[in-house]
Amino acid sequence: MKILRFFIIFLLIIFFGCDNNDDGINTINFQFTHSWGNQPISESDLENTLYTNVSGNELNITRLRYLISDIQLTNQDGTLNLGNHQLIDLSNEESLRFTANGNVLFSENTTLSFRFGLSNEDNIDGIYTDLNTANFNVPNMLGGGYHYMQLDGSFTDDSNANQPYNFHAIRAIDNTDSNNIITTDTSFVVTFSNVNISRDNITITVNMDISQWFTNPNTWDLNLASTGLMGDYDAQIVMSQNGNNVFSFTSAE
Amino acid sequence: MQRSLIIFFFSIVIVSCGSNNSEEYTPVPVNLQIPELFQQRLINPLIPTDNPLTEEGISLGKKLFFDRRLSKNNSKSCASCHNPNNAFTDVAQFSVGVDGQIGTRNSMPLFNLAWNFNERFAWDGSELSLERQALEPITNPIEMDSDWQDVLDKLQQDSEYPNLFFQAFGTNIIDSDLVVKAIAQFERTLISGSSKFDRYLQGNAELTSEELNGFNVFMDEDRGDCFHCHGSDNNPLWTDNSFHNNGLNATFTDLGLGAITGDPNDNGKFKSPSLRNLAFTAPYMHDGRFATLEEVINFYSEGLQISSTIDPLMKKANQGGVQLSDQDKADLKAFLLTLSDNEFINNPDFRE
Repeated sequence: MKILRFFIIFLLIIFFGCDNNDDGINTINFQFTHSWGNQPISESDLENTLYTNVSGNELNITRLRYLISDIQLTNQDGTLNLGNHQLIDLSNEESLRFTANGNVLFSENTTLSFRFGLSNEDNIDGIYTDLNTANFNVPNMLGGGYHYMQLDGSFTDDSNANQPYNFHAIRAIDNTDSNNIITTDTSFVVTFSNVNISRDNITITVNMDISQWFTNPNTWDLNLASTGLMGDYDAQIVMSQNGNNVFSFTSAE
Repeated sequence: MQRSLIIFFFSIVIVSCGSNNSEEYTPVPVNLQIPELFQQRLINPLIPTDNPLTEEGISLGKKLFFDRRLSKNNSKSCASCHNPNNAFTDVAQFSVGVDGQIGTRNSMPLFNLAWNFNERFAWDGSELSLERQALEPITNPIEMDSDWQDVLDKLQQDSEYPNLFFQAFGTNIIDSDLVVKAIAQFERTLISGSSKFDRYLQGNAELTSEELNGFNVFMDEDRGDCFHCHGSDNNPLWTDNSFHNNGLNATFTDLGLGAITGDPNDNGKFKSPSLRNLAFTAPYMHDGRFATLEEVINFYSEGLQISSTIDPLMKKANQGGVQLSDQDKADLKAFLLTLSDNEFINNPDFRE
């Protein structure tokens, strides 16, 4: 009888021991949504829907890919790093959602932060195999490393002609003087405070309002600048300034 | 009694978990020989879990790839239109089928296919895996024009194939699923990663000043701006494996991806081909309209056509193209030719 009891306990340990999830490992899901103002944008809007920016440019969107990195949750107990980088592609539903695991303590006062693009320290040419495979590189003549964003489409210009735009964000570089090349880290950190992490497997939703890239604090007129922006130092600075207003926290539920 | 029960229970567990029928033939697993440059710069290739690479599967796939009995009248093999000498395409604008019929598309070269992560194959993305791609030409009336049952009967009656299928897949009953699995295994081994430019990147070759300028034209957003669709020194596939309307036509007679998805926004979009091995793969474009690289470069420089779905990355289409100088055109061609891989086309593992 004693042996049988021991055997049952042994089996219970085998069956339940391997699926024990009580050691503080929590799952956080992230969802990135997109909008033009309050108008949601999904893959089906690509090339289909027309938008008007603050300069009156009527435009469509063909492609939106961007990079976020250094995703962190911070509360009174410290900071949790939730992964290095994530390439978000509006045409790829799977890329809009991702999951991170880590020891997260429940808190109503959690701060969520992530970086748009890559910091200078992390923006090293060619080292990320996933981004190389995704063809997200920046040529060495423009400082190397990686794109922060590719927002492409077409717009109607002032003479009523259809024109392309390539709103590509990278680390700003001024290489007009080869003896004095200037680079500026134009990635930026987005921070949302008072995020309520109330349960395991919670989904945090963040929205990018694409219209804000053209709006605030700098008004962008595609008639004046629409292509060849990667090597345009001033354009990259303006993009970075406007980018600070494109993300908003939607929910944690 | 209790002790006997426990021993009996463990015996069942051990025997059932360690299923190891020694009489069953086990094919030898194969790891792809990935070039060092690819290992450094790309994520691992995609090998489907239901079709792992094995020595026997690859060998069988190679035999099938070169076997003309896959066609209706035993006149055409896969290699007839995908010739190793031409980086697994052929020299015709449109390949000729078994009864002399021709299609409307240029045969695509075959290499580095395991790095096509979106799993859309063919110019129009119509085939959603390499295995499914291999199914189609067998019965296509303008290609092999065969019937799967006829093909299977021929293979089944062969003196070698049933045993080769047994060695590769554990059964000597041949079906179309196993045929295309074997062919796909062979195709995944077709890796091209030993061009002059690859050796340059590894410090084992030098480029001429013309080739270097050509590379700069390729990477310069204000000149060629080729890198947005065709890879770079950091993406040695030299393709984004995606679909674009690159401005070939003002109106579409071939809808390309649009005919597959049914989305008018995809009309006129075709897969970006890799720029590797251009020395061997003329003519160029999905319809083989350009016989030479000069024609291709002139097209991107001055010949772009505006249409409703032209990719915005073709940013100078309204001016006809990127307007390269004659010197930049010549140098761009010189650079592109450094991406050709003689070791690949001469690799005996890839020949009949």
